[in-house]
Amino acid sequence: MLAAPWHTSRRAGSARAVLPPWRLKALMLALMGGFIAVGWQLTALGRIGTASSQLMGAESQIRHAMSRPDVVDRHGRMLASDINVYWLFADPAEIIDVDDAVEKLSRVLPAKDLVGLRTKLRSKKSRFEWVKRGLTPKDAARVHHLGLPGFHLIEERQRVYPAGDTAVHVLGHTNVDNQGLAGIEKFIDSMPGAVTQPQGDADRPKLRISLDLRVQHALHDELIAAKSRYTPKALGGLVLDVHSGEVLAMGGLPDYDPNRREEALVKARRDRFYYDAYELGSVFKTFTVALALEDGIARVDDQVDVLTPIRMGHFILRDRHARTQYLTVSEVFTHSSNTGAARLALAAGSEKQKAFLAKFGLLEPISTELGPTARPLFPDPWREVNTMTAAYGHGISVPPFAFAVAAAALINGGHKVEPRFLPLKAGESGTGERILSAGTSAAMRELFWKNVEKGTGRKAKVPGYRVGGKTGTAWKPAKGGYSKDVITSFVAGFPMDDPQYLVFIVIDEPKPEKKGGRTEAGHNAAPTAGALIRRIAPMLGIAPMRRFDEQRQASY
Amino acid sequence: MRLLSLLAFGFLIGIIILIYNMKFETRRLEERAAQLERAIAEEKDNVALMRAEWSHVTRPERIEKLAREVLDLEPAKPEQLITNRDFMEVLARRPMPSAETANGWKARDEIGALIRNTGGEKDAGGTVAH
Repeated sequence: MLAAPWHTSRRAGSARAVLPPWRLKALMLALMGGFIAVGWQLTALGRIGTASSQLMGAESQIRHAMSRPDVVDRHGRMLASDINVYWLFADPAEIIDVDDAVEKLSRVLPAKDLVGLRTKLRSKKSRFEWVKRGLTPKDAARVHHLGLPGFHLIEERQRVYPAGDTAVHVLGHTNVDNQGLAGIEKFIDSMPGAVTQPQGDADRPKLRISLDLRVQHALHDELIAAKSRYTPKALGGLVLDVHSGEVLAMGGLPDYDPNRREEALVKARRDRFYYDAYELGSVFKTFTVALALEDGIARVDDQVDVLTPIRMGHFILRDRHARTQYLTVSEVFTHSSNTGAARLALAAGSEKQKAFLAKFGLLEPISTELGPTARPLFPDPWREVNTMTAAYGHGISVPPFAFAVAAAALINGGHKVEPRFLPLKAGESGTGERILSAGTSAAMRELFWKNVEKGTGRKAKVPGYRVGGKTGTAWKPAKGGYSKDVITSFVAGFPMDDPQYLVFIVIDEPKPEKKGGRTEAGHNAAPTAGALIRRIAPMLGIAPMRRFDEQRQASY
Repeated sequence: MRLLSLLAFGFLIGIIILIYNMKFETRRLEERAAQLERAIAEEKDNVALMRAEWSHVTRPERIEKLAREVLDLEPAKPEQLITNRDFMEVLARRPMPSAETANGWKARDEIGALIRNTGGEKDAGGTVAH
């Protein structure tokens, strides 16, 4: 019997060692415990997350590193997103019939993509040739269905900007590797923490910025219209919330389409409004008059001598348009008198003027999410003659963006404005420290408004809205002096009884609309600002004046 | 004792079969899960693509052009705007429209008619009298 040795040994050894029953039981218990442990471990291993899903996780992380968050405007409209595209490449050695392959490709791809493809694919040395980058999934599927040997598709992430060039100077663009090179795109790379993580499956990570796409479009559109009317070298504009400092729209022409990033290389297409400094001319009189009022040098109704020329060394400043000996401070503003502004600034003195401009942030570059602006240029040391010219905006260059931000503080009640391209979070007020008394700010509002009612800014008038603003026409600096070309600008606020928004338009070298026409700001920058305000005021929820409503109601 | 061994053996076979079954089932489910996850990822990409496309076709520039050319509209003038409060006042001054006048308005609703004729909206009526 098979079992015999066991039985015999047991029988034979029974005298020597009879296992006590408890030891047998202990052995069985131990074995059972062991088996239970093994069984438990097996089930446990079966229950935890599977290896394959861990792999998937790793894969999605790799893809995540290359993808960028969506950029949306303040109301959630998409400004930039990532989509999947396909890159088509070929291995010439694998291709059987080049002519046939190119012929078949020409049925699904536009002919211009296939120029020179035959010669490229015929070269026997090469094992890798790009055919086309950035195929849409639809085109990629068509190519795939051709079933051509030697042609391969790889999936890639590509940045797209659905609104094209509308907001490009704020958004910036990315390079081929999907890295941000300018604007908000660059900011995203430096501050990943600002991005909101996705809520739910169909969502993508997002960055909400302060721009309003409709306002941005209106600005872009009005700039295009102004460009065709005045054929300037360049022009730009901005819409700013004067209380929160949020930029609602900013841009300039010429610009570029971020979907075609090679256009960004042309230097003329860059954002001049932010990254260039200009002598802005008479718009600077806003600060001269504000300084005079704030410092108690003059009141709004005080008389200023505008006829007598001011002599300073070789420099003589006279007002050729002056018809009377004296103008009130208010008229100096609305008639935009250089001698008047210079007298006010000289009365205040160089030190005070410089300190005043510094307080408004006009002598240092300002920093926002887009990085620092251009550095303002001003003479050092600041002599009396500089005080005089700076009074009407010459001899000092500032980026238009910085000027607009400073001017916002003149009309918002006197609070410093911290410009921002990200919307305020709930609970943040955005209001900075007081840098101008409420009384002076109120007087400035009045002057702005008067200037549009009957001063140089009449063409910015918008029926139904209280618009106020100041024109600026500056001679462009040229070799050894100033050229005949001008830079015109218009800074406007609305509604003027309680300003909410500031609009600033700058036009570089406008031509007269009609032959022999005029090129002053009142004839190009002011009407452009007016047309823009007319379009955006309803979008921004600003109702036309009540009085105006009553007039209209009579016609019911 | 023999009965117990046999029972244990049978039990063992049973467990083996069960475990193999479960393993196969698990593998199948895993494959299915991976497939679904891939499908979800693909769907996400599709959604992103369609969102981008939607934003592209609804960009203000294009909508404005279409509104001007197809619907013959232009930007609202300030005198065409009225605040909610004023609108309520105007409403209060008017008598409530009867069903016929409401239909009359509907007939004169040129923009609505344009939209209806352009296609898309099939039923645009019925909201005027509220």
